[in-house]
Amino acid sequence: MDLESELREAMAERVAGAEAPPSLVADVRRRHRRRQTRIRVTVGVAAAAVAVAVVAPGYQSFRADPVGSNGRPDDPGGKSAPPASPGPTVSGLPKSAAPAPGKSGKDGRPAGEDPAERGGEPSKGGIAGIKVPAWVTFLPTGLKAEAPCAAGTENGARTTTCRWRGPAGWVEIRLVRGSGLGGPEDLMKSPGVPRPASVRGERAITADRPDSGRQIAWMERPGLGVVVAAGGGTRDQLMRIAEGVRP
Amino acid sequence: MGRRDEKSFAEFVAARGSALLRTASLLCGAHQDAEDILQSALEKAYRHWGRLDPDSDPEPYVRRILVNLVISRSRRWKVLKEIYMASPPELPGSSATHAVELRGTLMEELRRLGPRQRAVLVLRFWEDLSEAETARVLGCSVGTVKSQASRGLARLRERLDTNLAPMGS
Repeated sequence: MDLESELREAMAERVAGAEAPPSLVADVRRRHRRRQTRIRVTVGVAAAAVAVAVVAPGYQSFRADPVGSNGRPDDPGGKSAPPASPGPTVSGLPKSAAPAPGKSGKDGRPAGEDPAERGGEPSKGGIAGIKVPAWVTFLPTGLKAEAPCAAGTENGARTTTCRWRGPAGWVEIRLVRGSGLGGPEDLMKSPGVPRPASVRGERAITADRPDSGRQIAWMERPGLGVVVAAGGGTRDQLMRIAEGVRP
Repeated sequence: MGRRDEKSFAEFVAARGSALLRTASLLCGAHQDAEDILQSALEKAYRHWGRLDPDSDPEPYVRRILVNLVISRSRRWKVLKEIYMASPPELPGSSATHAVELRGTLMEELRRLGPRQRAVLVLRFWEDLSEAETARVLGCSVGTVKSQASRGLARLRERLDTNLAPMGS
């Protein structure tokens, strides 16, 4: 038996009736178009995913989530304070407000719990070009610290005041610490009647300032109040700035 | 130097489509699969058709795509079978029909060979390619073609002997 010849004949017999369909060229072109469409859709989806990945961090900062913080997630209520850092004293804070290693606060909290003490910690990789304390997570761009954050006293309460100024306007944030603070009404004085507002769910009041700025005040926790004021072009971003203050 | 155009593709498919379909059918072992795989191969060739030399025959290029597709698809199917099949697939046994019909049995046994070995036999004995041409299509050495062809034929002979022996062939 000549196997090769038999194999040839067997193959010829098997495919004798096989003819390419007349629509083969059209089928091939249709398949080619489908493939191109599939590739375009895939590329589009990938581009959209990349766009979302790029835009999402910006959106997060818009929502005043902590940017440039130490990377630890906030608690749901946004009440937890960033950890105290044993790092170097930061520009923008008075030396008196710098944390002392091992020092405990008067109210029994460990050193660094007091926002006035740790207020000068710089945000790592935070808002470019602006030295901001870690508890300030959002500031409009283009602002520069006017002077180091100033510690002082006001009606028996300790205050820490930070100011930024730039072509876009100005921002002032004041932390007020004192046991006699009853509510946001105790934190600021305004020429007009303050209106109720809310900062991260906390009751707040907002009012215009005599210098054409606008301010908002709220009690971050018992004994600690915050007043944020903004003027010029940053006036419209007052709420966003206030939402980003996490002492 | 000119470029191949859409019209030349249609002419090529009209002229050589059936021959390629037959080759694909022998390489795959099933006519339905052959049509699908031929379309895939032609689509691949179509993508680069404009870049092919207009003075050369595009058939070896298309045939090479076809063979590569069949081999890679066979490998994928083998993996799928290994994953999903709880028991070995039922293969047609050595029925009386197969034993008597030598050519039918031959084709059945050809289908059971590995894709590469089957491709060598199809290219050598159906397409009548030389060993060197077969080696070029498969992207291997002439020695590999020789050994694959020899082993493939030996296996066919061996299986034929087993199947046809009870019939006294």
